[in-house]
Amino acid sequence: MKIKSVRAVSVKMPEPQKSTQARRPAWSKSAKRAMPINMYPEFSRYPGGMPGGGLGAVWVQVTAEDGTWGLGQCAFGDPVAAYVNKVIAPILEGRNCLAIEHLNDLIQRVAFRFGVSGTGSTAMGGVDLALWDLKGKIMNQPVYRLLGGPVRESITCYATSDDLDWSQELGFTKFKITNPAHYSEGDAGIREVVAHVAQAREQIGDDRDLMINPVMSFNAEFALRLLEELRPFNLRWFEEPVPPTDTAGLAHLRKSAPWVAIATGEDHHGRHAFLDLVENKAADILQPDLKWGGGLTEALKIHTIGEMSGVATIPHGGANEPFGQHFAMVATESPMAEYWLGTDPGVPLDETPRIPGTATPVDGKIVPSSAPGFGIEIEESDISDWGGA
Amino acid sequence: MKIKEVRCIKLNVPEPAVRKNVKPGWNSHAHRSQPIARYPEFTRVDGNRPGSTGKAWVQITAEDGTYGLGSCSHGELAAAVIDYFIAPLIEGKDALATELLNDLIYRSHEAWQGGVATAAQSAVDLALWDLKGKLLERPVYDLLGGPSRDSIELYATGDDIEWMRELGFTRFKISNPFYYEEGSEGLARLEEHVAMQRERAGDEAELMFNPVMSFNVDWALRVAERLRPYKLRWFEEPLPPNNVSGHKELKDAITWTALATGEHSYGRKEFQQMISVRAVDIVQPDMEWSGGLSEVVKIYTYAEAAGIDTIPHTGAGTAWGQHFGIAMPESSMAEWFMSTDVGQPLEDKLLPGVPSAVDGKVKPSDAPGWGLEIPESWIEPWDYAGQQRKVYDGPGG
Repeated sequence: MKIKSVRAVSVKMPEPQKSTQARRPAWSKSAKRAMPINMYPEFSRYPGGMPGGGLGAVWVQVTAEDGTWGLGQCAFGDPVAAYVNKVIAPILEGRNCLAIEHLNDLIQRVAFRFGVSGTGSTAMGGVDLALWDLKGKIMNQPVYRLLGGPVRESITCYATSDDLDWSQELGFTKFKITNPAHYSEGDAGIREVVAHVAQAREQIGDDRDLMINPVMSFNAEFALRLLEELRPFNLRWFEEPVPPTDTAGLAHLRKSAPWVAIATGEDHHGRHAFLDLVENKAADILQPDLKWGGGLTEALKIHTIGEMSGVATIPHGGANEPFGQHFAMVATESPMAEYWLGTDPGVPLDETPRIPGTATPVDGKIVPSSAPGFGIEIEESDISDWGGA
Repeated sequence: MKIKEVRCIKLNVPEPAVRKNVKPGWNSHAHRSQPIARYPEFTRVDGNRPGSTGKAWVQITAEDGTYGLGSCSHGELAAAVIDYFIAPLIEGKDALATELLNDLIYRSHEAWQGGVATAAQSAVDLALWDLKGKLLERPVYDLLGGPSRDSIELYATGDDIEWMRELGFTRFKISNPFYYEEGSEGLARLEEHVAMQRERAGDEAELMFNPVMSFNVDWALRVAERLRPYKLRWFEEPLPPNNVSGHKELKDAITWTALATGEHSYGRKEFQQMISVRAVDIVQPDMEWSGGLSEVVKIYTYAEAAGIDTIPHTGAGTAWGQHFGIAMPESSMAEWFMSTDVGQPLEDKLLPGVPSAVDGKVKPSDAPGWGLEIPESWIEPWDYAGQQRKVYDGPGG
């Protein structure tokens, strides 16, 4: 079966249901979160302050000769849409749509010139996810079954949210909180983070998994001093403390602070970046993002590299979308998945805006759809040419 | 769809018709050294070396009666692992969940895996992929995400260079009769052997040399230096598989030819150790020894990310080798082991449904699963009572 077309598209999402009144606005609307750019005070740490944040979701539709189509989603707007349409589409059209390993290799070999990470790997992610959706539909199987799953009955989720009362009420038992500080603040920053973690630990009790996510806002020196202070709080892991370019810094941290696991990867793109992390013993947990880092094919290769090296793979934002849910049903060395809990406290999760057809957690666990492909419930009439953003 | 039964079977493959105008091929008489060659009671001719216990086959049947077939080496030893350990572990489980089943087997024999246990796992895994392909009505290479090429480029393993050239092969891997304790005289004879084969193959043909673990680091370095003028494409498995640091030393020292190894490494762990320190240029897992297709794809994946080619051992004469070879991008060629006599059609040693090499290339069947066309009448229960006790009858035997 040949590929007739590959194109970046816009998808009209259903209007959110709002039948339940929220108790209060979610943490995600107000939490102070540092990013690398917060070295410069002109950029706010509150939602909307990060440059580039307005670049929205890009969907990719791959259509086969017989009219069957698959949908994938990636991110970062216009530049990625252009990459899909101008670089990847001409390589893929006319080729066997089931030969995903081959297509992945073709795209990768072209991308070495443009850069295999960033825009290139994000565009590749959307295309790869669409190809898997299409393959599942053609073979009339859920993607996880094609890949040799299910390896578990349900996916255990951890909640990423500062609304710890609400996360606990929903039945989650593992929690990841934000980080407000940037390394340029020195000791005052350390005190702020310690107070934030102490309060969270107090709120969830001693026996629950607690993680913190500085999203690249530290350097290795600051991170190590902070980890010394955080030692009493028994963090399950310390996530992405430094930018993805600092493998040596991460390896140093991991060796120097053996009381906490080092997790990273949402801003590492593709198998080679992760091989580098694993072989330099720079991470305990790999967190590729399926949409940013090359798709499901790439995430599974990363999982295999981790599995062979005794390192777990827990994708970034995995449980919020069907892509990561299917990954979790087939990846053996992936003990839990991230559920980004961004909706307002009091509103049940099944009212959460999401890709139609996506399962939501019940008591902290998810069972994904077993419909063909990724089980996405979007109609042809909701799909239109890329509209820009 | 659940697994109803996993059982070890014997495949009663009829002997091919006797051909006229053939002469015995290298495989029946070539002297080939192996580690046991230190002891002269074991001759260097196939058939009188310990370690060969034939093939075991596995038949896995799903609830609806569809079945898949796979095989492994070390059959008489692996049979019990299959029937008494793996079968009860996976019967009743989801037949399509190959990753789960692989992980179950892997974890439950983690304490004793490698060698025979991993070979047994291979046959089961290969049968599961056959079954999955049949249930989904797809060739296995489709499930793997291939094809990545129109046909597979082959190299031929054998010493009958003229015959292999006549068949259209342009890449040749030759045997090694020498052992590392044979010193300078052995080195001189070895050079003559390779020089003669290079002469027969021509200057531009790719030529590989396979000592099958018969050297130590010292001798391997002397041999590689001596063979430098013959421009070998690769130097294969000079050392026993457990010597990762030795392979690393050779790879770093020998810059003029690639180092290939892996047929005697069983499962992902051994390959991860080898690849993570870049002790090898080309990995050669065997799908009937190293855990099956699932495990070899894992090995491939790590190697691919590290920029290392995977060229499975004895690949292309088997359906699994062909499906892997057509599907996986970073697998530049496949091995065709010349088990036929000179003048004998290659088809004589192939199972029904496995396409033959034509002009040094091969393309797998596109029928569901592995595309094997084994008649039901060839399938017989495994006969533990009838397992053969092998007698080694001394020099010249």
